[in-house]
Amino acid sequence: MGDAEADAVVRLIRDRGPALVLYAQQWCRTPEDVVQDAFLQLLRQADMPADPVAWLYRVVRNGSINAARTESRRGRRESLASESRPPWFEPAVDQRLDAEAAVEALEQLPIEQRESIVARLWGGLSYEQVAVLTGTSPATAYRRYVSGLETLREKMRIPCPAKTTT
Amino acid sequence: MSRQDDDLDDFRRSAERPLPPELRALEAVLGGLEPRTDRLDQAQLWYQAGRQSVQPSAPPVNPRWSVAKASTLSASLAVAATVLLMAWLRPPVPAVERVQVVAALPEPRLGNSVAEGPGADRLLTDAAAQADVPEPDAASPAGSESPHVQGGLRNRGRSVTAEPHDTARLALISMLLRHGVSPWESLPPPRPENTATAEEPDSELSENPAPPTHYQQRRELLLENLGRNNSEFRTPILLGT
Repeated sequence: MGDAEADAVVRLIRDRGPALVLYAQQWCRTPEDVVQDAFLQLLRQADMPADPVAWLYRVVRNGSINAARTESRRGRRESLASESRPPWFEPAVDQRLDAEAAVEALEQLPIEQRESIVARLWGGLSYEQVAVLTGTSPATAYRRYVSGLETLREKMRIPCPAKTTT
Repeated sequence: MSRQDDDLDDFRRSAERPLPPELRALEAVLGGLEPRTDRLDQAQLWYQAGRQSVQPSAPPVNPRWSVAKASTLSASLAVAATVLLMAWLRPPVPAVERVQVVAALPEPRLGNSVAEGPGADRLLTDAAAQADVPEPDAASPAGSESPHVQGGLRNRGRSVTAEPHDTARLALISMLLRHGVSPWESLPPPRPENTATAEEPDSELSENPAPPTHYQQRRELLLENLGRNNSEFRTPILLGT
């Protein structure tokens, strides 16, 4: 791996690392380890993947699912010990939205919708990339995203912008 | 038109339609939330990356060794399979039963007096028939045999070992059979010295280095009596023990 590719990895860690951790947190309780392993795998690659972002999300998704299976085998004792979850987001600058409420609403979504929203909204992936990542069609990814947003709006009781202006 | 094409057209029609304004507002509000950046330890990540870069990789495997290992393993498996197949297809080994029969020779009843009449002849004849003693060969005197003489007693293919006193007794019996019991007077006179020749049947005992047994003593007594006057030979000789 040359210097240019190493610089690209550095930028990926800086720009995509937090979103990848948030994405991995949808399945497992050790998302940092999963994302770190994904970047280490990327550094071990002889050639940089054609789409490193999509590659990283795919590796993180597989690693998170495997980690979740391992955690489920360990039993309920350790899960109770790690009941206190770390915060997902930075302290909200915009006071119009409570970050804790958003997290609670996100956690109540089905994993398919939540995965699409996190990958699209904070990961910056396109519908095509989300479709490839989740193994569905772009239309399905779009429908999951829209339905997830509607569910979030209902749960968070966010008023319609048009109504707030009136 | 395939289902994938239908989905793609559906997606294009949906993507062309903008999100509803309330969803766009929610999207903007949610997008304002930034994932936490302190959860990924970049120092730890680069430390692990450095460790993995300096870790020695596994030494390259010599293809010759791989071929050798594979061939050895396959040959071993082939030999093992062959041995197992041969062991499985081999006919069962017939069981060999060996029965060892130890036959005890009946002790001849020779306790009667020789001079008591024809009963003695019958006893001696029976004993000789049971013992089946070969005729003493003048060329090979029996006296030169070892103390444990393989007496050559054969009865229905079985051999027994004759003890020294048995040999002497049988020699006495054979002598009596040869010369008879009643005509004691016809026996040749005893020789004063051990100058046995090949022609003399009793030369076998004269050269016997073994100590005289009970039967040999009786034989010597018989020979002495044969050498005396016939009128003096009236004493019954006991052959039994």
